[in-house]
Amino acid sequence: MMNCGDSKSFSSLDKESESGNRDCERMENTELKNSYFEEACSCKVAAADDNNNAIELPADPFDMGKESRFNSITGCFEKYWKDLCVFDEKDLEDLCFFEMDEFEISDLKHFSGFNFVWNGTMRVQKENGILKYDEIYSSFSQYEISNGDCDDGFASSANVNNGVVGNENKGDDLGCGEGGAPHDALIFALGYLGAKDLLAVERVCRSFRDAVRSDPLLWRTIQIEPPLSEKITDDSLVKLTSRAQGILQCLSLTECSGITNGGLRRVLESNPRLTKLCVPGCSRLTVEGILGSLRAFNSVGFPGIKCLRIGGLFDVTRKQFEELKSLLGADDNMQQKTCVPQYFRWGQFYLSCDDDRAIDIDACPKCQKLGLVYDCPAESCRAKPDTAQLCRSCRLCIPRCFKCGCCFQDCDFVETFSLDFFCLDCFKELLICEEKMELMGASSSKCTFLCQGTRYEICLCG
Amino acid sequence: MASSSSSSSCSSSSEKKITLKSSDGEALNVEKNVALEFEPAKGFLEDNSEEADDEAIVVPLPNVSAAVLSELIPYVKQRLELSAKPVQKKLIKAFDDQFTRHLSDDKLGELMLAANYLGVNYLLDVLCDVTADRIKNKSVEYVREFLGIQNDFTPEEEAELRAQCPWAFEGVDQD
Repeated sequence: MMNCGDSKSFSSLDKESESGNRDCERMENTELKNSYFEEACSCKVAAADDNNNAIELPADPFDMGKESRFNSITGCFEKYWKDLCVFDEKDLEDLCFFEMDEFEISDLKHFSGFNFVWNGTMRVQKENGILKYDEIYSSFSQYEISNGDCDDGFASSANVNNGVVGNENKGDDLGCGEGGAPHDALIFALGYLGAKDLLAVERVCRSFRDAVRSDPLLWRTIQIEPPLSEKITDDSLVKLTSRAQGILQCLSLTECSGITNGGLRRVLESNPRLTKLCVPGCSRLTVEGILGSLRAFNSVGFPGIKCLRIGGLFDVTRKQFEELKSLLGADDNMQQKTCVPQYFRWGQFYLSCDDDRAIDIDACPKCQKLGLVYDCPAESCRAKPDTAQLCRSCRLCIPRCFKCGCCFQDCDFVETFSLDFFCLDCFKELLICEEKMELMGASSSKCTFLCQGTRYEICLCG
Repeated sequence: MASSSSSSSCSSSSEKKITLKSSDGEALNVEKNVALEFEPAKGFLEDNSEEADDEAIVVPLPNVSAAVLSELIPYVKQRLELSAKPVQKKLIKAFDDQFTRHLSDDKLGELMLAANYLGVNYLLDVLCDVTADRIKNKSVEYVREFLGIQNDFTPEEEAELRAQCPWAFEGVDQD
């Protein structure tokens, strides 16, 4: 019986993906997912073998042993659940039993992970063809940490008005004071920090603590992004949002798997002035839950939530979609006209909450399914208004470059080993980047490895 | 510093000069349009608008030193020239970046206080942004060291703060 080995491997995985510079991390993730894919495939074969005896394969063809196999499975489930979408339902069922039979599970997180995988699988199984890989893999980009800019940038200048400038306070300068009080000017900068940095600054000294605590304006926008998002729970979110003392306007929770419908409802109840809500990738929220919260909230809150981002993860029915739109006060024409084009980008899986559209999902013009719909950034497609509309679709209907998001109507493309598509321009950039990495030496061996793999396994199309 | 050179070079856009008096008693000549960017100077000039000769007006700025003013004036001047033209935001951003890149942390703080006092909001924005960037995603200890701030919490207070949001302090940069 083993139940510590797996959690260990998971935490080390986490650390790996959290550390290092962003670019490297991007590469690393892609590389990791490759290896998971391979491992997951072999597991799939093995599981089928155990149960059906249909395929005559050695029980452990790669000498992985049960332990390492399970490690890789848990890793996949926890962090990269979408890999599993390549399984069919039966296999997944087998895998679940396989785990429950053989291992003692003390950690509830595993189970929630399973539920989530299950939903995701059901959804993706409806689609057919190679493109679904594209979707599955590109959703990895969501694990990148988007820059945590505090977009409002409101300076709470009301708090500090009488700072004396210049020679008179040379003693406690910003950086040189020998363990003195913070420079008054620093208080201004607090308005430019996100929630996470505010929490850190709060612990620096008393004057910072008082400034952070006494100014609800600082907390008007709260964004929780990875890696913090998997740690936040309902209670801690309620506590955090209470710092805004009711004036919270924009709440963005990216992939907060600890937040439940009930937690969200509590937050909404105590923050009646919320207007923007972003919950992409929050796996424990459901459309019905969000709808229910919105119904209750918009009946009492003023002016009510006008802007909702749910990401592409939910199975929204048309009826729910219509109700969401009417709750948000959006009408179809406005939705089409005012919004800036949205491009599919590596690392920007979710649409930001900066633009004015009321809800991020829409019906794909091609397949009519509800989800994130992207525009095409290619000049040739944007030039004519009619083709620009032609090129608008979800990720499944039109393959797009993994990096720049353009379609491949007018340009050649490359498919990598990991089944991502790149347009030739972006691919060249990648190769150049690889050469640079090689020059930089051993520290970037992982990135180099990926790019080399990419180079060897490409097939040119078009 | 570059105080005298910057203020004496008369640009064609503005012929009138105003004298600003810094906290340390130094007098600086600036173009009127630059002086009008500073809220206290603007107010002062409006109050004294009956004075026929602008040259004779000396605007006291008791909260800003000459050293800081002499950094501010060229920036404001160039920024005014930039924003008068229909240039892209990118260019302005590049200009701001260039201005802030080499600022020491002390200077940053002084300029920030001055920009606040003088009501130059676009500069305050830029400076705050830079400062925030410098302490973003850093550990508490790092911020303290970086800013030279003494930890004035009692151990009990510190424990209380740490217990408050333990989830927020894993995985921050240590450097």
